Amino acid sequence: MNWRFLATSSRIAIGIVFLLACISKILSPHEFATLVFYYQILPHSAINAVALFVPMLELFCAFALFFAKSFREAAAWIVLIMLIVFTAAIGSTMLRGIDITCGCFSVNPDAETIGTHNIVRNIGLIILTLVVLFDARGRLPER
Amino acid sequence: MQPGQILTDVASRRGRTGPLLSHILLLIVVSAAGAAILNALRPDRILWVEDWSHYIEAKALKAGITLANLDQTHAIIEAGRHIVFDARPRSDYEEGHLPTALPLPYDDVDLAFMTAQAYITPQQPILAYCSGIACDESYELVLFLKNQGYTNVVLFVGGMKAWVDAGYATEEGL
Repeated sequence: MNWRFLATSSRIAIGIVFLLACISKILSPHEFATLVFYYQILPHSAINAVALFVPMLELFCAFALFFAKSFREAAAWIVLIMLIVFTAAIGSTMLRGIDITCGCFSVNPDAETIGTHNIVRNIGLIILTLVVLFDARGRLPER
Repeated sequence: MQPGQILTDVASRRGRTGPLLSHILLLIVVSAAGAAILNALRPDRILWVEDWSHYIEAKALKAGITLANLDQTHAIIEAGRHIVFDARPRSDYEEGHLPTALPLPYDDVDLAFMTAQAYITPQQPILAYCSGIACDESYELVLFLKNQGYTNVVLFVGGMKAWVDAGYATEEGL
């Protein structure tokens, strides 16, 4: 297996996913805050701060994965933690029977509601992020 | 592995952790600063801290929906003139619902409404509720009913949580 190719592809894929994910949230912070509110997880006082901060963190992590070699490992750790938190939030919301849209790539309240497909997709992204992380730490085989 | 090698390995890991943590911190600080600057510059800026506890209530008032508080809802149920609709998913309804409430789950509203339609007239007083102040199924249901021509519909924003917290009795099953 060509690990170098796999690591580079994973890094670019994660970067693109996070770049696409942050755009609508940055453009429409109030709409995104409303979706965060519907998850019913955060205290109300933290909703807007999270809605403003998280998309910007996604943006800078995407840039770091694309352009800043020395920041790749840091970005990969942050992306990994974000993906785990997002997956837990989706799972918890499904378990509580709350029917809402994901808010992952769109702030449209009429978008498709969350389901197991969101969790499966996030697990895939977590695996890709682990590949990026192992590569950044020099733990992937040479060939 | 030789003891010397182990020490070198530990020192090398420590040497990696320092920059890694500072890079993580830097990404977080730059993102927070970026968010603060962008939000300050944009015309549709939002507050960093906002009271969301009355969001659905405010949205309902803006849409011209009549609201019922806990006491009013209790009186409405005691009087028995309103049809009470539970807008939550049917499984939540079966676990427990307000006395006399009927299921009209908003996640399956088209089908559920076809059944409900048979026993309500456009003038029938209706009260709708869902799980609590943060759910919007009952808000959406009220809008749906109004669009269908039902004129006397009120929304109990506090929902199931406010009812249970007040210690009022609930019913289970269908």
